[in-house]
Amino acid sequence: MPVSSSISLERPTPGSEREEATDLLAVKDLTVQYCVNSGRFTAVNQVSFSMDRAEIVGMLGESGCGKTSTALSLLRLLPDTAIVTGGRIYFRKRDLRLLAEKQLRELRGGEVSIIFQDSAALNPVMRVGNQVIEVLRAHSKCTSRQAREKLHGLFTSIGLLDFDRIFDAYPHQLSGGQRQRIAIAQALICEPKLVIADEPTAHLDDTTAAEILAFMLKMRETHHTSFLIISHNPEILAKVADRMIVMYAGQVVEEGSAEDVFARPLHPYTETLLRCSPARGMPAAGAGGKKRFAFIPGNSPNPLEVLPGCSFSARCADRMAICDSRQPDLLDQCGQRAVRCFKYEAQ
Amino acid sequence: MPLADKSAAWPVLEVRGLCKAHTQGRWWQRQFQVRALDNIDLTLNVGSTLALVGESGAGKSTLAMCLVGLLEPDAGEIVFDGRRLGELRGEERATLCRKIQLIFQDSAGALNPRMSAAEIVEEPLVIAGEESRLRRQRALRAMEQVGLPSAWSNRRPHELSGGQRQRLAIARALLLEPKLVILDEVLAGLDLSIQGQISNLLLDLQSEHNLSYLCISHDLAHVGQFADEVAVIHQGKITGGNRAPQAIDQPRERVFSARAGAGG
Repeated sequence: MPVSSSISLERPTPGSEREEATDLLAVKDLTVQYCVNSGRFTAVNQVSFSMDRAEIVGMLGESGCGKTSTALSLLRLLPDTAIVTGGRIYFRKRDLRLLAEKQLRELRGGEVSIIFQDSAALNPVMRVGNQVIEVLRAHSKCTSRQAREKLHGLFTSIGLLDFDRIFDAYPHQLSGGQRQRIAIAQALICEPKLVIADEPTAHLDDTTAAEILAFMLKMRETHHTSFLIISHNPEILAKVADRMIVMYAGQVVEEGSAEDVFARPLHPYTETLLRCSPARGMPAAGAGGKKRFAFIPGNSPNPLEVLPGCSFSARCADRMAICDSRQPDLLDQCGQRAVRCFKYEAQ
Repeated sequence: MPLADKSAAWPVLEVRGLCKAHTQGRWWQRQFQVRALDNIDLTLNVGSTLALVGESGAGKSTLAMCLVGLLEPDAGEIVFDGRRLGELRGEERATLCRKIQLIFQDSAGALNPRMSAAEIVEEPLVIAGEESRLRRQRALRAMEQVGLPSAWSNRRPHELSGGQRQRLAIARALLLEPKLVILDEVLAGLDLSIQGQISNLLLDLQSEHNLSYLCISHDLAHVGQFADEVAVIHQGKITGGNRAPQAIDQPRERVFSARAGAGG
């Protein structure tokens, strides 16, 4: 869909150089399928979006909606059971799907880096400091003293204060939050142009999460780094994201500026999801004054069953007759937003 | 209001003056002690939820490890169900400790990757010596209870999503009918909708079995709604004792202001 690119073209770009004026990252109709015993299912279904330089894009969705598969496919890191069956991924005008493995290796961790969801990404038998330095020295020439100095500064700014102890520690000697910050350090040490952050603050306490998010904002200011932040928690994204992409069952269901999406969600899924956040208040107490938390009724659709209609219709409060007959398109809403729902088709 | 009958309830767990220090530094280095827990006092009444909040490294998980007996406290006592844990040994202690269950933050690390979902859930019953046919039935029922279809009983943990793995861990913890469940960041990393569902499930199970929860968390927005009382732990000390969740209306300022002052 050309909607996403039209949005980004209208945005003023912070960069002055002409080369940077185009999108940093443009994903067009990306489709990823997984092969399982019982057949194939589509995890990412024709996802299109684009990102500018120094832009923070938040990708919101529940587990299994294809947000991690989207992220991994950008750097060709998907497991062997997954195939990218269609689409184009342009990073600074280069099609990443056509790059040779060797060229992609130079890109990974250098210009584009990724923060993985779980800190099991660290090598258990290597001191964490060396693991971060390894990334730096793979992409740039520097002495170990320079590397160590650079690391010292980075560790301090992401809240790892006891430098000598942490540098020499093995992953198992650190807490979950510290390991997560090591993974973040690995991703940021080479000052990449684009950072894909898959649940970067999931295991961190509020203070540390706020510190990390503040550091991301600072990196955006000083290095014009773009961040694609993937999260299931709208509160995290509300703090930093400029633009939001909401995914459900492998498709983009809503897109728009973060302010708009949070203040006025269009898609019923986004609306229900935001209501689930305890920070946004609780539903009225049920019978007998019992506490109740809001949730979305039903389960996420089984990816192996392709429904003829909208994938959210079974859980949707505003379900109509048309919802089960065909799939809605991603509709452009005044050029600034897009939503995949029949409610907005007539307008 | 539930608060009225809770004040009359008796404590299922009392912690008095608990201290635990970790030794740091390798054998050739100068070793020093880090006071992970410093004179902790806690009271948790039957059927209620006490939330323990604090930033990472404050000692929340060390306290949980001491309560389930994975760590031996240096000083102080833990009274569970009217009996001092430190005085019990062997079979007696094991029986009592079965009534305290711990659900871990990292569900991937807490489940054996080589066992199927049903095997994982029924393992506590194997250890408790239950008959094998009943075991599988109870395991499947527990899985249904936490929202996992019994058709998934042969799946391995890596075939489940993070939320599903955590449900599996909850099913396993609930199988031995505990009196106290320690929830160590169980909702971290789960979808909001699933967080809501699991919170509702935990609340239902609490009223059904009169369970007590010690809920370790850093999600203040959730804890404010979920817990009956909140205790704030900072650098191994409980500051201010138990208070109502409403007392922490400005979470970041109140709970973490100490850090700005001390860290400086």
